[in-house]
Amino acid sequence: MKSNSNFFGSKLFLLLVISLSLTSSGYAQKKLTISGYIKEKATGESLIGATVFVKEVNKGASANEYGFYSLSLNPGQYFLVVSYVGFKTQIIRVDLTKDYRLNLEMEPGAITQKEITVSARKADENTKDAAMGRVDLDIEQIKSLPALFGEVDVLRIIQLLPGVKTSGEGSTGFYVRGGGPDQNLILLDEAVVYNASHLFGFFSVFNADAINGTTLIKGGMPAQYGGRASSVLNITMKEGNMKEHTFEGGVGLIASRLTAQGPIVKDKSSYIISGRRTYIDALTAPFIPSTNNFSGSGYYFYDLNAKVNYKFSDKDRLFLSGYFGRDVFNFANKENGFNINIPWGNATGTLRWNHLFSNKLFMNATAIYSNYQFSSNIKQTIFEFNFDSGIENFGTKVDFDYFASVRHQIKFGAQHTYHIFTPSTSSARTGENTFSQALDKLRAHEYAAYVNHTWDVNDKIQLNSGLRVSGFSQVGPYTQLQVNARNEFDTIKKFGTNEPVTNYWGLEPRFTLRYQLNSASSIKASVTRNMQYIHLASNSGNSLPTDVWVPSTLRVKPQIAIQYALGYFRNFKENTYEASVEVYYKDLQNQIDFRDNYTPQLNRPAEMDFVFGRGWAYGAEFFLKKRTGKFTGWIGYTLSWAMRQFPDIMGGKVFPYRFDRRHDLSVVAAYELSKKWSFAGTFVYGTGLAFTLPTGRAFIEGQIVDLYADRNAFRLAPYHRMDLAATYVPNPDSKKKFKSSWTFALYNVYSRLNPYFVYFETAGSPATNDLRLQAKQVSLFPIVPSVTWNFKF
Amino acid sequence: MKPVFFWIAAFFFVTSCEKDITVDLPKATPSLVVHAQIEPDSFLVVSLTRNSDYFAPFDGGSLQSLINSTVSNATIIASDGTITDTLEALTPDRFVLNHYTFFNYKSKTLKGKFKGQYSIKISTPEFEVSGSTTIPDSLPLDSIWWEPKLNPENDTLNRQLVRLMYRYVDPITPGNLVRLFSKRNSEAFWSSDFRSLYEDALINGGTVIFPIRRGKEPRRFGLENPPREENGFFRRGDTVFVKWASIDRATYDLWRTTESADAGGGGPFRTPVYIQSNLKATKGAVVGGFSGYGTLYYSLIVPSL
Repeated sequence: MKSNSNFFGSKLFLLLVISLSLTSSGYAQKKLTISGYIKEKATGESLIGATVFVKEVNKGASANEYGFYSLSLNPGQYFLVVSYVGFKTQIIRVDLTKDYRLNLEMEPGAITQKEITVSARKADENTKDAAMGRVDLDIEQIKSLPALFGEVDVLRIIQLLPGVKTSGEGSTGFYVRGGGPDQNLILLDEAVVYNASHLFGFFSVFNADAINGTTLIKGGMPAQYGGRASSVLNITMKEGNMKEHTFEGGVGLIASRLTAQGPIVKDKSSYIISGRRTYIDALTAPFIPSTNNFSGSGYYFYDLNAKVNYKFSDKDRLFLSGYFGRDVFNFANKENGFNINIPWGNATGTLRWNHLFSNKLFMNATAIYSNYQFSSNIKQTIFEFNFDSGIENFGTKVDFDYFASVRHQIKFGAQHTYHIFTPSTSSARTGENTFSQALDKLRAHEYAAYVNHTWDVNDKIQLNSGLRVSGFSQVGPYTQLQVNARNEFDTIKKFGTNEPVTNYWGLEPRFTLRYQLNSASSIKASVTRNMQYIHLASNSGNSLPTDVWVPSTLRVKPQIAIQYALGYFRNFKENTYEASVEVYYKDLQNQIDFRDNYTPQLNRPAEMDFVFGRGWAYGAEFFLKKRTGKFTGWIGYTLSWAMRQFPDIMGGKVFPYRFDRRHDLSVVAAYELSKKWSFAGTFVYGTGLAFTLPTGRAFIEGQIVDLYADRNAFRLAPYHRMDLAATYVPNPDSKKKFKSSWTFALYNVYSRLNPYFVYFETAGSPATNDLRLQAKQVSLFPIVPSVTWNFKF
Repeated sequence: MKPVFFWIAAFFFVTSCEKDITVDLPKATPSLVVHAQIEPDSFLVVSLTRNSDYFAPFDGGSLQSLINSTVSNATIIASDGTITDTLEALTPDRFVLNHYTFFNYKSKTLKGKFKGQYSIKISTPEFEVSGSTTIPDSLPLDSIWWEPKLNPENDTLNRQLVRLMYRYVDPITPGNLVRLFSKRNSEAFWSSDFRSLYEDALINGGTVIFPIRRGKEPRRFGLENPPREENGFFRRGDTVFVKWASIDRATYDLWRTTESADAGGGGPFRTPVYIQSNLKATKGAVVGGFSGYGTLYYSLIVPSL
């Protein structure tokens, strides 16, 4: 067995045990508990992160992912302040003489409307909570921001936050604090989404109409999350309206969407179903005659989200939710007898059971299924070629929230995932002959158990300490290979089905500490260690649907990330303004890349083309946000470095990571002019992406061949862009159930030709003595106007 | 997968904008460019040239300028384990030419044979390079034939075009690798679009029927390109030749990476590929490699309409 337990070692266990044992100090006096669920009155939707604050003790509690909260207090009279941004604050007097169940329903209304909120939590949480590098997005409010082609996308909003980089023009791919694309744990209702993008990254798979909450954690990752080295993006789907049936949707330039939700049994059970589809293919099809050489070519994607839940009692509730999405690309060239059909996409399913063991102990047990499949079917005359890859998961997990006292909250749980990896595998057919030399599917079990303790040590100090113990067991079938002197593979050992191949495990301590300097400012520090057992092998500058997930094996070791962060947080003018500065350093071990002379080859295990190295990233993030008022928004700036070093790449020379970006600036602003009109704008600036160019050329077999030197030694031109949007509500005061709005947006207002990639073209001719190589820069989108009509009834 | 991404890219970037830019590239590491090959019953031939900076002038890009870039002061010693031969340097008028592929060194006595092993050592004042290759056993084709172009439109050109097909029975042992070239009439042998490789990873031990695209000179310097519809097809009345050469893994990797490093590519899906040479430089740097070809030739005549 291989161990990665040398970090912090047993001292860490000791510290955690001491930390947990201190919890018991709160039990000297008999406490009474107020607990319940916080929901939106009109829909019954859980309000995740809503807070109940007890004035008398200057402490409070936040509702968990299911809207449950619990407070244990001494007997007595208290005033509870229940708040959630965008909703009317409630003050409730409670005479606490016994344990008390208090379910709360909140109404929208509020201090301000239309404010852009990157934290739906209580106003001063920025400084009062120990959490660092955590951002909560309110999906309803980000809908007012400008969007490419009018398609609202949570991943694009995330890219406007400091520390988060985009992979390029229009892309929803994101990279957090120097981490790779596979180092983000993307969860939809607790199921892992392995490829979160449509159309090669231009749209995410998340339909904004079906989303309830979105949380990004880029540092200080709590112990309940694991399996990825850099970040967590946790997206929860809406539960469905418990009170009445409603419909909402939108008609956009390239896609339309429709969502229906309502009660199955009023206040007990509800459903939501939401669909979205692009229709350029359908709109253009009538204009392409069937005799056209390219008839049958086209592209579309669609999503379907569905969720039902049933409340058996105040103690038990079941949720069943699922997602299914596909991209489909077809290309036909009748003249050449050539035909391509490429479908790919995700499917997830989650069954959850919420159970209250007591008014202090909340349990969520979950069964999860997740699947990502890519297929490619190519036909030319009598030859057919099929290519498949994917990953499939079966998971179970159980999580407990124990609300010990107002000063102590403990989360603990365990999880198991069975992974099945389909490596890039091909089959072919020519005439009557079928060929299949499929690679074995790889299988592995991933386990974890964790405990996380949030402790308000005193009014100044909050300590969040956690420990995650994770493990990974690869089982057969598996063929262990090595490369011989002739560059061919020799088999070392073949492992049979379910035969143990290798085991890894590791300790993942997680600490964050807040020290409150005064009522408006605090200092926070965190250190976390993350293990990552599965990896995405990508050979491209951009993530492609063909990128393959691979497990840790005898050859591929788990990735390890250790991140240190320190931050200063300050609010101004009674929390109207929020500001923070965070610095971080991230050490990445066992990083994976393809060797220099890699090209994709059929039926060849990807791991045989891997090389292994290390990475590190560091930087400073500055964030200033105006939270309330008619004018809201934020400015985020990041100064950062991200480097990689591999002994087998350039002889071990350090090179910048592709998403190393020295400067990154985002400005987001929104202004509500009237009930009918509101405006929003964004501006982004980023240092150009690092990329590799040839420095020399050779003539071989009559061909000009590129000779490359250092990796990522060049920079594309800086990226900057401004987007604007205006939202018009024709009848804002209408009492009718049917409501609609129009969003007019301009993407890339000043039509900046931002670089997407650079290539070289051989221009001229030797016959005219002007043969030369010319560098060309390709830009994707000039100014793109869009209009979207949204409706609800 | 290359064609797939080509079409995806084509589909994807219809709205894209493009402009010329200036890129400031550093000087290239001076390297010896070696293109050495040996075939059964043929002398070992070597082309020795130098690389150049990426944007260096092409001097008109003429054949003469390429010839001028050759390295002519090398000592090349080759051996098959029995015969050791010092290659003779050829003067330009004696270069072994295949349009823009030329060889300026040739063995005097050493010739290739199936299942032979060959080593080479190249010395110049700046470079010391050595390596080896093998000529694998032959991998004969079962047959070749022609078919009319599929769905020919009702015009004169398309009715003139034919597709060349082959039938190949792959041996049961895995790892059979081939480079494929074709030509018609008196033209020179070329791969099609610098894509010449075949491997049996997918069809090992099976029988495959597949088209052979017409070889295409990479850069038809000063020559007019054939019409797009003709791309990959032969014509009625052509005498068609196929060069089908078994190669070892190292030669396969050399050409797999060289063909992927062809200039003029690019795009978001393209990643730099560093050429995997089967030569090692103990002094200076080397690009290219030493290919052993177990070549078999086939031909047929496509009757006129």
